[in-house]
Amino acid sequence: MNVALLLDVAAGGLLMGGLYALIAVGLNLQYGLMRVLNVAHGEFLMIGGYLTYMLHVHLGVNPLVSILVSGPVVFAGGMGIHALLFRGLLRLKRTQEELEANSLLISFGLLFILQNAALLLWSADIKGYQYLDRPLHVLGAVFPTNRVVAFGVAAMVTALLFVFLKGTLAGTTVRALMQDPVGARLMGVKVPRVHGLCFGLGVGLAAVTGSLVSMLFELTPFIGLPYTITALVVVILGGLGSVTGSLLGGLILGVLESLGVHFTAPDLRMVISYGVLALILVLRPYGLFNPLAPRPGQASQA
Amino acid sequence: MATTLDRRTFLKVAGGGVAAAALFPRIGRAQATPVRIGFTLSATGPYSVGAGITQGPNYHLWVEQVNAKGGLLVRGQGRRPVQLIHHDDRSEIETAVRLYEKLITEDKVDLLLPPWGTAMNFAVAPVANKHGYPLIGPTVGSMKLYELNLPYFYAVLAQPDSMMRALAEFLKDLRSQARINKVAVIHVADLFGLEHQAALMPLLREAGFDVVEAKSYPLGVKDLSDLLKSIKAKGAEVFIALSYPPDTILATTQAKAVDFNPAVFYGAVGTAFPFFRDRFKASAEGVFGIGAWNPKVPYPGAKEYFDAHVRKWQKEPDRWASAFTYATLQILEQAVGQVSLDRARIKSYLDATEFSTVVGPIRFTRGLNRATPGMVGQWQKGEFEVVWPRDRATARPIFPKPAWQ
Amino acid sequence: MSVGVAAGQPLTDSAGPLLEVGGLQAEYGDIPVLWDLSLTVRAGEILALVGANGAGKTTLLRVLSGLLEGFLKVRRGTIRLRGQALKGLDPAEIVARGIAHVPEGRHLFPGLTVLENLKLGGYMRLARADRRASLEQVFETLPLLRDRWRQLAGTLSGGEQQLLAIGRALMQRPTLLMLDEPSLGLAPRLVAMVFELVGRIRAGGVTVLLVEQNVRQALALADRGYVLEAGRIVLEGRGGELLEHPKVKRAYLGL
Ligand SMILES: Nc1ncnc2c1ncn2[C@@H]1O[C@H](COP(=O)(O)OP(=O)(O)OP(=O)(O)O)[C@@H](O)[C@H]1O
Ligand SMILES: [Mg+2]
Repeated sequence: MNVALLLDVAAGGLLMGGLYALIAVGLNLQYGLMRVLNVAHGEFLMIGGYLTYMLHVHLGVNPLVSILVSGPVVFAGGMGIHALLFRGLLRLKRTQEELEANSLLISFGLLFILQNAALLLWSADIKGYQYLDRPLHVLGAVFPTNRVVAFGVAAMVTALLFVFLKGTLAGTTVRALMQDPVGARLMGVKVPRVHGLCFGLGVGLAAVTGSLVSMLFELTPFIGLPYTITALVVVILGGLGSVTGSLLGGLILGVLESLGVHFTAPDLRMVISYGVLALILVLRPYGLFNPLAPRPGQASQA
Repeated sequence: MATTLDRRTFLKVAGGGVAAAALFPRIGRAQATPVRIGFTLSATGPYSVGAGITQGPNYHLWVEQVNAKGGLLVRGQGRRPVQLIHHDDRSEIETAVRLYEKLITEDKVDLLLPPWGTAMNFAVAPVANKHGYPLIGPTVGSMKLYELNLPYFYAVLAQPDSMMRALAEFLKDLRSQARINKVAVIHVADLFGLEHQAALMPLLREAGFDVVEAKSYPLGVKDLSDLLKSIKAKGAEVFIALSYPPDTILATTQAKAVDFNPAVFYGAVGTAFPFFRDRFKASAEGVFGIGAWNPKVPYPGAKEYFDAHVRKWQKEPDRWASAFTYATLQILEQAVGQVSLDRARIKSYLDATEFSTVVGPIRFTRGLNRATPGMVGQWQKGEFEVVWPRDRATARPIFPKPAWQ
Repeated sequence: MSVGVAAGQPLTDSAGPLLEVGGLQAEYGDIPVLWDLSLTVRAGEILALVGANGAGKTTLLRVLSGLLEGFLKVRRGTIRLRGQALKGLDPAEIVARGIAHVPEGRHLFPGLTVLENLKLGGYMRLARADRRASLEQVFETLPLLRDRWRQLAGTLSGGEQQLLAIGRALMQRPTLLMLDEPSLGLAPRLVAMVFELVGRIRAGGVTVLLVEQNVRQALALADRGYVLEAGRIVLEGRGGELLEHPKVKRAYLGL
């Protein structure tokens, strides 16, 4: 067995894992916080990708700079969509199950609408551009330059998110709401507003991931769903509501996928993902890093 | 802004079929009832890329041309306008089957055009056959289809056996010029990929090539870089991807990004797309692809077809199956003009006639066009040249492949 | 020692009711849990609300703080804080009007540190300096929290968690502090400490509505009390009087 090649493959997986982490963190902000399973999450990635594509190809904007547009635009759009579609649900919700079921339906509708809108706007043709697609030689291994750059940006965005979540009162509020909604409401937290913020943040992060993905892969209006599924696997792997968990989960899944594919075949990539998911659900249903996993002697959370 | 753009695009898309119909009061003048032709194409899903480049534009172009002439000449009835009835099969095979059944039994269309892709045709052909509708597939590469014994089904492309034999012969020829021995073959896990792979592997072994990797990947694959890295590590000098358009692009992008530059880089469906050249620019130089056609080929109407396509769509046709699609329509037009819309008689006519088309002469032997050999094309300075077989070549091959740019 | 002084409220009994609940009926789905319930809380007092399991004490507090989740609905009745209607307001608005609620089960943020939990208590205080002053006061009242400020709330002992929950509520500088069974599950030494703390909080000028199953200690500390049974107020009186009431003795004190 060629150890150098193995390390090379693992490192390649790690680079992809950085993107998985970013999109999963975004999904976790929504699902971990509101139990709104947004199956249209990946569509926002797709939209971010197209925004970057258009800015780059038509206006010559550097794809990395375009993130400053795609992120905020989709963030604002996400807040709007939340106010329009999900806010009422949250207000009317009577049981958690009801909320989960209804939000699933709504986000399915959203997926359909966004996909078709993209189809009308951008057609089904493959769209892509070349950016930093030269090989980068690091210690004898070869990586696509754009993947290394994408990973770096993903890491930076994640670091910023961490500063927000851990270092600001607003971020602390988000974490508090994830951990105990009743407690948060009793502190005077305006829940719908924070939900809206998190929805916007979540899809904004998806859009940023999409901008990065557009540097690496071609775009079609249908690229979203597989990323949603990957994000879901990562969220469950890392633990609902655990941002750190999603980060590590993304990296782990990236490496596992790459090694798995290396030893088997690309056919099995999804099987590997689902295998990881099944294993986690059986062995650690609360995920690897969930701070809310029940501990002995602690009251269960609402 | 979004609204107007939405609406405009929407009208363009939704109006495709309507537009053709709308022409008819002006041009068809008389009371002539339209000839109704039905089909499905994938507007969404993994097949939509190929369908939207290779088939859709040519169907619509042909209808426009026919209607501009006053309609489709139907023997004994003069010219009748053509009306298209078409649906999105969403790249779902069951949906396509259901829609074709509907087109036949409910819409009672006069003629059918095929959907895009081998697997789709495989599923739809028996339906058309059962109801006695001739179906001339422009995007079908499968011998299995012929084992089904469907007399009403025809295919114009060179089939996996001859296509892969051409590739193997070509590789042997190249080997006489420079050392190439290690071959890696990847294929999409779809009827198209499976059959081509099955046809190619024995030929490679027979020819004494060392196959260092042979793997499949799923339709809609997201990432091939790990696979390409290990292929590179195994020292492959020939890389063959029996791929569909999205994965052809993916494999090329990623081969370039991991600095895998074999002496022969061959992709299947999608390589011949102008999009490929535009996407990879100078890096497209020297990439080989399955099948080939370009406006320089010496067949009547080839250049005119190319120009008409560019005029109508502001984009070039792809350099393989687009022209074959157009050829199927030429064949159909000729048949209807000679024998009317009687589908059994159309079939007999197809069986017995040699057609002159933009891809050269076509003649069906038990449904297969054996008049067109398997071919290999190569991007050279922005044109997809026919480089194999020699007697069809429009240019000499560039070998070994130059470095990625 | 002073504890978060409420905004300029007179401490006298005679100052009129701080909180007035009249004819309240609340239901889970269609099942009524509170029946025509009326009570008053006077400014500056400790009011004890006692009753058996399932009597509706927690439900009442949830209604008062606007935590109408799931199937809980208020069918009729009025709730007034210093004459202003509270019914139908959102918890955030009720908190803003000075009612703090330490809920059953505490509802701390287990993955947040002690300090972060407290900071969230001061969430409504927009001015940073204001928050810092509150924090200082809470640390003075509960020095233990200062020692453990970096510890995750979920890793505190039960008693410490209860103190943190109270501290977090005090960060809101409430006029009225509602405590739902603060002594539940604590060792006797800690129970005593909690009751002593409640006394100190009132001494600091905060009115306290204390829900307890620890009837003896609650009534001994309280100025007044209500006994709730199956969603209805069945007894009302001064703390000491209730302690002597035969019904209370029988039902709650095991005498
Ligand atoms: N979420 C709910 N859905 C339906 N019924 C509920 C719900 N919560 C409480 N109840 C019912 O309402 C009644 C009052 O409950 P509540 O929790 O207010 O009582 P309590 O006096 O606080 O009891 P304890 O001393 O045990 O805390 C009980 O009969 C209880 O079963
Ligand atoms: Mg209770």
